[in-house]
Amino acid sequence: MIEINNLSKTFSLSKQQRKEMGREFKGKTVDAVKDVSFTCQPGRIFTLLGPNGAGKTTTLRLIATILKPTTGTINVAGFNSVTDGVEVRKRLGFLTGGTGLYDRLTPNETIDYFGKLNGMNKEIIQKRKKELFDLLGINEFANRRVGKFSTGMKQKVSIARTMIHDPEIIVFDEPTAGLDVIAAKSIIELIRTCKKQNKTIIFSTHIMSEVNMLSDDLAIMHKGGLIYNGLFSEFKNQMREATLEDEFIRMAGEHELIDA
Amino acid sequence: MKNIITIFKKELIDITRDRRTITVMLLLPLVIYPLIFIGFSKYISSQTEKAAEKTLRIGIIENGWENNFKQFISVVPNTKIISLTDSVSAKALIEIDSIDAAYFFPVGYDSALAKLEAPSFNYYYTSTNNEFEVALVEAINQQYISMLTKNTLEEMQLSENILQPVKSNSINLASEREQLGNILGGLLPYFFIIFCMVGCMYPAIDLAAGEKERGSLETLLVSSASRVEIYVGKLLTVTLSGFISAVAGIIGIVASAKIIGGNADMSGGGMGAITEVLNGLISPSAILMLLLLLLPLNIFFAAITLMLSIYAKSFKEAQSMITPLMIVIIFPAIAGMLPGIKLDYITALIPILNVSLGSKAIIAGTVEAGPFILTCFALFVYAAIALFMSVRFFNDEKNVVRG
Repeated sequence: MIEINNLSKTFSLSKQQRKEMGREFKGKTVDAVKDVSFTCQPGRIFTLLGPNGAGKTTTLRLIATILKPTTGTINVAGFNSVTDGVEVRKRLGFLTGGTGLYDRLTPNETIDYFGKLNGMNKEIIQKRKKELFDLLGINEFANRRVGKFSTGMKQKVSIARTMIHDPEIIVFDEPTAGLDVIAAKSIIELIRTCKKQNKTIIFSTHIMSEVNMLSDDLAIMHKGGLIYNGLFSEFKNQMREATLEDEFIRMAGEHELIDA
Repeated sequence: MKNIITIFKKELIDITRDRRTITVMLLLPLVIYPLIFIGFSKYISSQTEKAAEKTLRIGIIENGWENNFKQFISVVPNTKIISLTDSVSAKALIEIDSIDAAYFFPVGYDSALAKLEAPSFNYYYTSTNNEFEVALVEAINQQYISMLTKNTLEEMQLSENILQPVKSNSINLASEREQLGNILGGLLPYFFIIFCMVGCMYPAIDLAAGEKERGSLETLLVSSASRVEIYVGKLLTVTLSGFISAVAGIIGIVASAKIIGGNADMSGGGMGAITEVLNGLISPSAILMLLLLLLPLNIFFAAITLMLSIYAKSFKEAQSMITPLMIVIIFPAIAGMLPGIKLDYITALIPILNVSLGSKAIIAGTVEAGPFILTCFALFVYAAIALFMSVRFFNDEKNVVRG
């Protein structure tokens, strides 16, 4: 379970960044996440929807303990993200669209490395690695260096790396970005499998079809704040526009007006 | 601790699979530089040999009478006399390198000489010619003048001692090791400092800015390892790489000095003494003292390069931030080779210069306890400051997720 209460994250800006924000911008800081609260339940897929720059990645990085909240709290599997960072990370898997692998290591070495870092012993790593490699079809290239792999092959290794310690919480940050349909489909399958295994899943995207396919719960982010947080089925019932895209654009526009 | 070892092992495998690192860490110091040194010294000695065998072509502008210089030069070995008619053609021949020098003696030179009127003669040469030939011409002049002096003194029945009433004998109390240590002692730490820095540079850039650019740092941060563990694992890798590179550099230099020295011994040169000094260097106490200076410097370099690298957004930015550091480091390293600067209580506090001067004193065997201890202390303090700042940079989320 992930519980987020009144989460805010403020970044201070350098002189250069302030310049780039334009003349109307007066402050020295920017609020990437503003007073956000939501809960992700085990066995459900929680979707974080929003355009680029809405604050999705920042929120997920806060959950993954890469960043620290300015205010508010995050509890992951009962552990506080600031005070019990290591405990949180032991129970968390993090998968992004950019595979983030080491080009000069083989899949075998990569998985061993992350298994060891997550405190697993050799036997368990070998057993779990075999399962994942069989499932994902990595065996035929398990001992070749990652550098020359196709994006699809890299994504498979990246999935194995995320799942090696069998985390109960999985954070997917735009996991299908830059993938072809086949690779994207395998990610969708993975998310569904995780749901069946009663894992807690948070998944960020700006692709409406993925929202439609996967969501149990939905939060819509816009300029750092939440403009919807509830059941996806309820959201669909309330929709005033015919498609998800149009409804999202309408809501964002309405919010802009309120802001103004 | 377990995580640090895991990270260290992985980073080590990763960087040793990078051709760039291997080239900088081992190939350059162990193969390329020694080859350049040996090739260069071979070239110099072959040029010197060639010059020694060369016949010096001396032109004499004939004015229709004989003078004693012609008689003198005719018995000097490896010389050839060319008779010339005037100074214009003499100058032209020197310009086109047909002769090495031309002599002109004025009318009545010999009789003026006999009357002790100190007549003068001119000789033409060009300093753009081979320096070796110019030096030979100067030597011939000196021989000629001393021959004349000797003859005159003999005619006057005077002893040569009248020109040099006393003789001074210089006795240098510095041992051969001290004298050579002073020269080599400046050179070896210079190479250690430079190679150590170069050895740290690439892994530091690759392991921090490079990882950030490739997106693998984020996944590493999400693993159970703490930030400090990740940092220490990386720091150890960068430090080891700098150390290996520096040791490889020293081995390369010593090996080439031995090869050059061995050759010089055969031709009766003095390079063999350098080998002796180098052999003397490999005493346990000298190595221990050198390590006391070089290890904190090594950690200092690793921490600084890693700090800049984690601050940079990309591999390229890290490169452009770290490369200028090289110039900052070269200056104090070179200053250590200058004569007149010694390790004292002030220079012991200047980083890099203190290593350069300290190693020089260790190699020459003239190191004093006080300044040496202060140097070690200062270096450990600098390394600790660099480490502290570097860890802070690594813990700052702004740097880690920058860009």
